[in-house]
Amino acid sequence: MYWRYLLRRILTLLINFWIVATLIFFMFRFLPGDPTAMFLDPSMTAEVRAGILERFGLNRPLHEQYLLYMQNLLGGDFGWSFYYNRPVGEIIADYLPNTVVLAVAALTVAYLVGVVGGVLLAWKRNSRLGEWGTLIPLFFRSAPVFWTGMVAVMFLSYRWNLFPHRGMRSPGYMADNLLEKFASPDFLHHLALPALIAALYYMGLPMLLTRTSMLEVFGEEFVDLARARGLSERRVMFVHVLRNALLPIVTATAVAIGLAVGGNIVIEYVFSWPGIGREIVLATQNRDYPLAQGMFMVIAAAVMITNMLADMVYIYLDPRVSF
Amino acid sequence: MSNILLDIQQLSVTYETARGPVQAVSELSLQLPRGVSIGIVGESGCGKTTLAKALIRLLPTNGRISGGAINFDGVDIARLSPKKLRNMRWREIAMVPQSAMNSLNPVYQVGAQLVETMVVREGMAKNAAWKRAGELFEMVGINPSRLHDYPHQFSGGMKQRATIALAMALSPRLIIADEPTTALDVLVEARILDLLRDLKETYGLTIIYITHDLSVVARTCDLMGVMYAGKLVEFGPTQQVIRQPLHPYTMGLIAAVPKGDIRDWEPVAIPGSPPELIHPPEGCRFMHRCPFATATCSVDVPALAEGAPGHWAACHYLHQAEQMREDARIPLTWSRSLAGAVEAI
Amino acid sequence: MKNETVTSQTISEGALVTLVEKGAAPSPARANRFAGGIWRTLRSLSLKQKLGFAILLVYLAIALAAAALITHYPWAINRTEQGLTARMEPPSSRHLLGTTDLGRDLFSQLVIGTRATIIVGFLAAFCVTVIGTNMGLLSGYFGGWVDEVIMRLVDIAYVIPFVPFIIILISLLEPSIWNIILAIILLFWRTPTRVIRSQVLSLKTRPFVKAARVAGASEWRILYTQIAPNILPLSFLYMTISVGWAVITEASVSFLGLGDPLVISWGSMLNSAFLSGAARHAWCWVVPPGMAIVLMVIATFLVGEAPEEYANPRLRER
Repeated sequence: MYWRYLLRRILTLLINFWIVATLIFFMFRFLPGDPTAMFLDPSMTAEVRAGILERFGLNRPLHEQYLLYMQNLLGGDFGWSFYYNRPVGEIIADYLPNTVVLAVAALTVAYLVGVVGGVLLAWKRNSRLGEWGTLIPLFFRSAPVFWTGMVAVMFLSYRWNLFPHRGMRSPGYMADNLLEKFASPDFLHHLALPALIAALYYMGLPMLLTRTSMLEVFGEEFVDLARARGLSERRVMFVHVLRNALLPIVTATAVAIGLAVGGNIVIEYVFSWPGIGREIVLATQNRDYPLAQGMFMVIAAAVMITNMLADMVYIYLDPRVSF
Repeated sequence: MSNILLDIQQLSVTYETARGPVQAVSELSLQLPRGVSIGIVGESGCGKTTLAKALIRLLPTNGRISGGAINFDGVDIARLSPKKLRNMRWREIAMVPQSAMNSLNPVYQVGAQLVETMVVREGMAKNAAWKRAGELFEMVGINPSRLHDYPHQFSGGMKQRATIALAMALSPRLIIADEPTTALDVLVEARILDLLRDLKETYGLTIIYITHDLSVVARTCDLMGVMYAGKLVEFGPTQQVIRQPLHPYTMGLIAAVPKGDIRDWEPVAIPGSPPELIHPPEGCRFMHRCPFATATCSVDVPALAEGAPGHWAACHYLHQAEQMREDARIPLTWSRSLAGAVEAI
Repeated sequence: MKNETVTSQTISEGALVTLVEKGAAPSPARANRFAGGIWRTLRSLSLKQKLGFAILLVYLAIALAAAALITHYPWAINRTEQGLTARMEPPSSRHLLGTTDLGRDLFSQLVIGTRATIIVGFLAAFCVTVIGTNMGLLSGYFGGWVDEVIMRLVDIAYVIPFVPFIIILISLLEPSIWNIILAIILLFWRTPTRVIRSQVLSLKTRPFVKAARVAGASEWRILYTQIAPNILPLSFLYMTISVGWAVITEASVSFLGLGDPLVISWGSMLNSAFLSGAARHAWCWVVPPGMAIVLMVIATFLVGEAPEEYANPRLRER
């Protein structure tokens, strides 16, 4: 039963992916701003121009272009970057791991701190911590993450010299293996600030949502009974209430993922972190449409897959749901 | 070792509400012998559920025990420190809650919740705990194969049995059953009541039934107490209280239940409603709805007095009980009260 | 005011007719139902919500009075007494927040930025709410293929990652304030649609709807005169939260350099700060625009009472 549901979800995912790919294809073709003009120099000769058009398939009729595009996409060929003069796929492969590392680090911290913080805010809701504590996640959710990044860099990097202000590693650093690439002290030092700022932004949602959700569960009778059974308050909070309160948080993950994608892009930009977020901004600034398009598809796919995973997790967590 | 397991002395419970303090239970005194079942009846808001919660000290945040003592085998529960209290919970006093629908955590297996209680509270090993959980299930009449099911997979009656099994998990001496059969249909209700009675006989349990249903009490309880507006107004052996009630309120309750040949029975309804407990009336709280009230009743608070051996009631006119009983059977009598007069307008 | 008349028809029909005359009887309140609904909503707000509203009104007031509040023309390059460009000056009595690297007065920029924020925030939120509410009404009420189509569109809108979409869209169109609003509208309508649809689904089975139908009201009439007023409070609250999201989005887009070059907004101020390298130390340039954004967004969250509740699965279709 589970497998049939899974298959259905994957099918929906593929259809959605196809729709989004088509959408972006037509967006690029139909919106004002001739994409070809961007890399065609008036100074080029007609032959060179024709040659470039031929190479990028831009002189074929629209439906042929579309089929070619779809074919390439399925085969993993994302096109050729105008700016870098390399296959888009390669560029994505280069930058994607960096984004993943940053996103995973930030989200992990955000969710751990967020959930535990939310439990505490709910548990101690009658104390001063509980009443004023909700302002913290509220603040960080209202503050644009690039701004908190800028402020953090201003104070923590430039003024007090605690963290590097940009990049993923110090210039000139050579890494020998994967471990050294992603686990070296230098790397971690560079990762710390962007991940922290991103985490502060992301944690707002799980923290406030956990708190609200916990408060709703408090009214349930099994909570009273758990206390009547003589279980410690901590156990009641973390084992009984939280488990029930988690369900809405998992569904809210869709919103969280949306925030994370946007947040990541802007954070990478502020910290000059070499990931696909930053690259997509640079690509659009450079009018490098194949690159922008390819990255967009990768991001869209990531969002869809994570949403599907979140749904799967929800079904696993809630024994009352059937499919 | 005295015969009295639970000795409640002048217990008062107050809730702090936005409109002021409400004394939900007023100076309630009750003595419960071991191995006996007692039913506490009363209409909604009379304070019986508050009493139950006060006994296990699980009042909501705005409630507190404002006076009196609860002596459980010599120990005053009302004054216990939180740590000792937690220690005592479930081991000595357990609860079968109202509406088993929501009393089990929906995301954990039913058996797991039993096991958790035993492992965390008694330090039992997991395997031993699961085995004992199976035994508990059998004891209440559920197939042990259902241990790994989730609450939503149980029927209403089964859930109630499961909560009874849960209550028995640490072999308590006192069980408080708060409206244990309210949400169940009549057939299931009968079986649950039988189960509770069997358990009481087998294990020498003391059970307090909190209910608004007189028939439940009549069928299962040795002793019976009637609460009204936060006070205990009558108390005694069940059969005696039912056959020869001493307090007008009890008389009204009993007259309202059809008995004998329905064709001969006339339904009685007590007009009016219980008083607001923010400003409790002076004198007897039932005065307003009592057809036998006099001026004395509005001034003096009646104390519990022994109207018959082992049978107590809080009324100034116990000596006239027989006459009052006669009158109480007639519906017209009840319109003689102040509340009845108001309603007639 | 009850217009109850019991007819001599059969009991069931009679009951229905009574219902109809109670429910669908034109009462004078009907004409002002929309306005009345909004006023009633405003009066029933909690303290937190009223505080949020007050803050938003202050912002609105500043935006309207901007021309009078600024100390210098925001684009003007100011000069010192010596005739040099007043670059990167610290806060002084002349320049309350100092100047930019090009000599522009920061305080005036901050004040004038309120305008862009209010325009984008409120206009985008308004359009998003109007579109989303209507889509939700149609989808929930008519069901069938209308519902299928609209929900499909909503699904797609949800899978499109928001920021990348905006970035690409703006770079394809020209960066202007109207395109930013357009981009926001194109994707944000998805959220109110789902929420309103849920509400409509539960409302459309209520007796007053059936009664109106029996009275002969057309489906459209029922939708807009019976159901719509009941979901207005939700819509209204939604709109306020959308303002917050729109403001952050505009700020982010402007920060990335894709904002309208002719418009000064808080995001564009931060963009200039970042690009000029002043972000290294000029806290009077970086902190005020950010705080302005934060305060405004908090105000919208206060009114909307915890936006994450709208991600609550009870409102979201499974």
